[in-house]
Amino acid sequence: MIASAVVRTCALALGVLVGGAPTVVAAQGYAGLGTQAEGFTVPTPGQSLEFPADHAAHPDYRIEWWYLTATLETASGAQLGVQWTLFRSALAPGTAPGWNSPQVWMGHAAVTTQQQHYYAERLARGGIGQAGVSLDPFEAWIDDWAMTSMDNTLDGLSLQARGDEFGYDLSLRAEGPLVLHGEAGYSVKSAQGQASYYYAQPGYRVSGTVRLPEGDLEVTGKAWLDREWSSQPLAADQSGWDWFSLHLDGGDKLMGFVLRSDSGDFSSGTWIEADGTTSPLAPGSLAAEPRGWSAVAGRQVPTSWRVSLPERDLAVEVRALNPNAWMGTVFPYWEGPVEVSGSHQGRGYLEMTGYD
Amino acid sequence: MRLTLATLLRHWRRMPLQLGLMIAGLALATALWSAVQAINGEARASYARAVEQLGSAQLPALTAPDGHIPLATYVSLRRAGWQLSPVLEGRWSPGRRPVTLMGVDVLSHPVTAAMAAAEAEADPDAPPFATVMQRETLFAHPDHLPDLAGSGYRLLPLPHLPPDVVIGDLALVATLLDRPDALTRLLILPEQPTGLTPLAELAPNLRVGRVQDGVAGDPQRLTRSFHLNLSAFGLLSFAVGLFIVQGSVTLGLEQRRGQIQTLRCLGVPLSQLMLALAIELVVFALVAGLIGLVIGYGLAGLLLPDVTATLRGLYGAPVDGELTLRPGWVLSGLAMSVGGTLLAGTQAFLALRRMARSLSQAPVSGARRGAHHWLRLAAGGLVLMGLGTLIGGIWPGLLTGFVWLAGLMVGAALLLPALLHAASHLIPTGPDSPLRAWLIADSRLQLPGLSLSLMALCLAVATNIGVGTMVSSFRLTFVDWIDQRLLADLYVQPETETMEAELMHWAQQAGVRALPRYQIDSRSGNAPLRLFGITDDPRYAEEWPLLRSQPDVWTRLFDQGEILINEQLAHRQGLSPGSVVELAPGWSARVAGVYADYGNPDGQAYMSIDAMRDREMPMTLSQIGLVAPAGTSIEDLAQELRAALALPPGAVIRRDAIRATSTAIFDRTFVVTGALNVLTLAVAGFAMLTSFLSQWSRRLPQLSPLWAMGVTRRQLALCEVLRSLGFAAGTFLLALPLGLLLAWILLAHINLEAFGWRVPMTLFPDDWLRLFALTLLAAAVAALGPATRLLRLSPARLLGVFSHDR
Repeated sequence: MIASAVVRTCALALGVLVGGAPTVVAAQGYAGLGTQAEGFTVPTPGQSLEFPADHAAHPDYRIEWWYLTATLETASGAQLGVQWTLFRSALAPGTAPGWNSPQVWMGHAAVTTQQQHYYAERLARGGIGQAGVSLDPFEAWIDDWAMTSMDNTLDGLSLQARGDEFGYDLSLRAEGPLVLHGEAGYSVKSAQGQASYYYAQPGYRVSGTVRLPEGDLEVTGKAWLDREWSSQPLAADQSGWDWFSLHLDGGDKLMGFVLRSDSGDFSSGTWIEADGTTSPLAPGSLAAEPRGWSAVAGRQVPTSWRVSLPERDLAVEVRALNPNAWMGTVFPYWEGPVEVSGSHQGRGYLEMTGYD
Repeated sequence: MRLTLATLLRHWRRMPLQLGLMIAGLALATALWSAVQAINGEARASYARAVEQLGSAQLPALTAPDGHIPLATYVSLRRAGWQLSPVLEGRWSPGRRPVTLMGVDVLSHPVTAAMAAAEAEADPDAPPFATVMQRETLFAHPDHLPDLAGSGYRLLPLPHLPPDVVIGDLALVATLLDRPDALTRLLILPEQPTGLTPLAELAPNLRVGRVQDGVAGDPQRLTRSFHLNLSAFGLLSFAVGLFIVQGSVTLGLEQRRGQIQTLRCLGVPLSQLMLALAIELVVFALVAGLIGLVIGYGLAGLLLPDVTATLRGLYGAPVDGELTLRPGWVLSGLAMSVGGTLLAGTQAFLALRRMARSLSQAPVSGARRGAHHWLRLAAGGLVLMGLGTLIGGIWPGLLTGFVWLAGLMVGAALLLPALLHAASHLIPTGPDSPLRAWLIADSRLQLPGLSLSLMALCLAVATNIGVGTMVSSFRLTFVDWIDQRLLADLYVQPETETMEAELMHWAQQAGVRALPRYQIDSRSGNAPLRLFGITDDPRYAEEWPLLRSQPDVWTRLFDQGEILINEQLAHRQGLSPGSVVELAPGWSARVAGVYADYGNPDGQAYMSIDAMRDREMPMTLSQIGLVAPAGTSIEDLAQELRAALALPPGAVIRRDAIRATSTAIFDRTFVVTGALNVLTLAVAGFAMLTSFLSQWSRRLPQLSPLWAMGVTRRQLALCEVLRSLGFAAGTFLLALPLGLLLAWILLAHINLEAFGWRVPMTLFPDDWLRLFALTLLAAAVAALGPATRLLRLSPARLLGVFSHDR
């Protein structure tokens, strides 16, 4: 989830929360994240993650997210995907009461069917209770969108969001352990050493209801939750990214990303076996190559990919369920469910940014 | 066809002066109308820009009856899914005068786009929102920034903000106003999720309405009457201008009688003649319209700064001082000119038809129209006046008020010829004064040709009297009111509570009486209501003027918890002394009196400070007035105060300084009215001049016999001038009561509808005398041309009348 989260926080940090200002962002690039961390805490290797404390917010870090994607199926076998994301972005480290809090929150929710793509966005100030993440029990919320647990674990979650045309109400039950990416949760994001803390729960079983204009749909499927926080996760010249989270038949999972830059792409990821055993991918071992492009929202976006990971004998075709899964939010990007075929079968989520 | 047109047009080559006058008249009329339209258009565009920039006027909003929405309510509505944008508003005194401080959530409020643009301009490298939220930035109108310079905050210009409004992020504003847990209103954003619980269930105590009362509300609400006034003025000038055109066109046709007969004899069909006349008129109208637009544009440029000053000063409405040329304005100006000319030419078309049908050479003399013609016109006039009064009387309102005015004005104008006709019979004519008898009989004959320009004069004079009386009455009342309302000798706006305490302490030590005034912003009847709390002081009873009150009003106020309300609130809610008014939920009070309150559209109430404190609502100290002990120099006292509390020079304001500023704003407001008054009168004078000139050619055959009987040319010229003066005087006599009626409607009805206050009418006979002299002067000047021509006329021309008489 690094990619979209970085985009989001860029947007926040650059202050393009008002519609019609993407040129400002383009002109300023991702400088906000390439600069020094200005008093924010920076991730350091060798620090172990602690739960449940690390499920909650880390206000001394610049950016953070609770990012959930689900690949679902209706009773009649139709496929669809659901996204629920809460971002935190700090204008300054720390907290303050009321309106003075430097924390800004943003939520994105979407439902993608083969024919339609619905999405919505929420923004909120920290400090007044309109958005946040709390423990005892765990709850992450913005407005009426919420991800709640009965306890302080992320094992059982209920998830709600709604926009002006859609809504969903899902129950999630984890079938495996939490997964720490990188080196015990310390995930390197560039050759220069930029990094984040990064863990996930990739193995949820999902059931619930999705509300669409044509009616309510009972759905079941799988979901993947990513948790990540950092203060300066990107190198200054990185210009866009392609991110994959794939549930493969047989229970193995792949999280992989390619950060594109003029000086050469940086790819990495994690191989997660059915029992939850993880193996970090060596930088460069994952390859992803665009195979088919679609015209989406007035630009060309690669919605079909060839992804290969020779060390696992993986060579698959990754194809968008709906090429029009465009998130026309303040800072737009592509995010939607995908189907996997080739050496492995499966389903997953793809996110792409930087295709202007 | 070309020949017909060329023949008709050739006439004007021989009559360049007449052509020039006609074009000038129409151009002047178009100029005045289009200038007013340009000014109105500019103001409207400015309002639209402001509304768009502030972005909130179109949105419905939630407000609390007492003006305070707890922050927790906002959060709970948000958590119920409602997409709302919070706004906190309050008074803040960063410098010499208090401003309205408006806090918005930069993540959701529509004005954020404008703030981001201002931020990007000020510092292109800075990420805007981080800066707004972190670097304590405030936005204000560029003209207002210097006043805020001492506030210590980062300031950025936002040109479309009203002058006394400062906007900032909620975090900073909540701190400055010390209201971290309260909001003033919640804008309901356009896009809402499906399946929401109704607001009436979630927050039953909040009310949904349009944001009309907030600082970002629609400025058109306040300024509507002002623009309607301007438009009425413009239309009036245009109508007066059309009288000129009507006179000139009819005269031009009369002069071409011979040519027209000849053309007809040559077989030119009537339809072709009509078409030729129409083309002639349209060409003149276009030329005059274009000239008028150029003049109008210049005029608007000259007047706009004053209008802008008025709108800003009186209403706080944001208007740019720059004029833009709009295609719509050019087209509508030309259309008015062409349409008006064709309308004014109707009589000429009818005359042409008559002329072309009868082959008789004798001019159709309107002069011989019987008295029944005047009676018909007069009857029509009376009907119009009656209808107007009926409409204005039955349906009180701003627009019907203007309909009433229009009915009276047009009706009175139609009545004028009949009255003048009747008046001419009242003047005694004995056998000893044959010349006088002739002059009166001749005047009666001239009346039809002059009646239109006299009507124009009547309208112009009545407008002058009406508007003049209104402005002067208003000014007198206003100055009087300011004098009485400024009870204290010095005014101080304490910026902190410490300063307030120090000031009160100093006043006690120095033997100076202090009159603090506290303030709460509330709502009543879904409209804003400002409550003031004052302490008991004999000066209130001595000097405060009340419009209506209960006996022992001040005892009731200070001891019995009753209140005083302003006239606006009384008018809007139909209250009078003894009524009970709701000030906030669960808080009502009895009205002890009603006071006048000019220049403010909203409701206000005064109460004792103890009654206010009982409510435990957040109140702010808006000012402290200081009454100097008898025999103390006020300037010395001010200096002493400044020295004792180390106040900056601007912090202590003298009563006479406030009075001077207020009066200056008032006078600036009505500069435009004055200018339009003079211009209308000038156009009317011009109309008279063209009428006299148009009469001229017909006069000669009537004057020659008199001359032959021994009346000298000098006597005849004098007669011309006397007749003109007589008509003008008669017209003035009718215009005077009409103007006073106009003033009364403006003061007692239109003002009441527009603002909720009634201004007592005062008469200014000195002004009437001056205007009477001006009217006579205009008439004399208008008659001077024909009179001097008569003086210079060679006897041969007069003799020639007999030899050429067919």
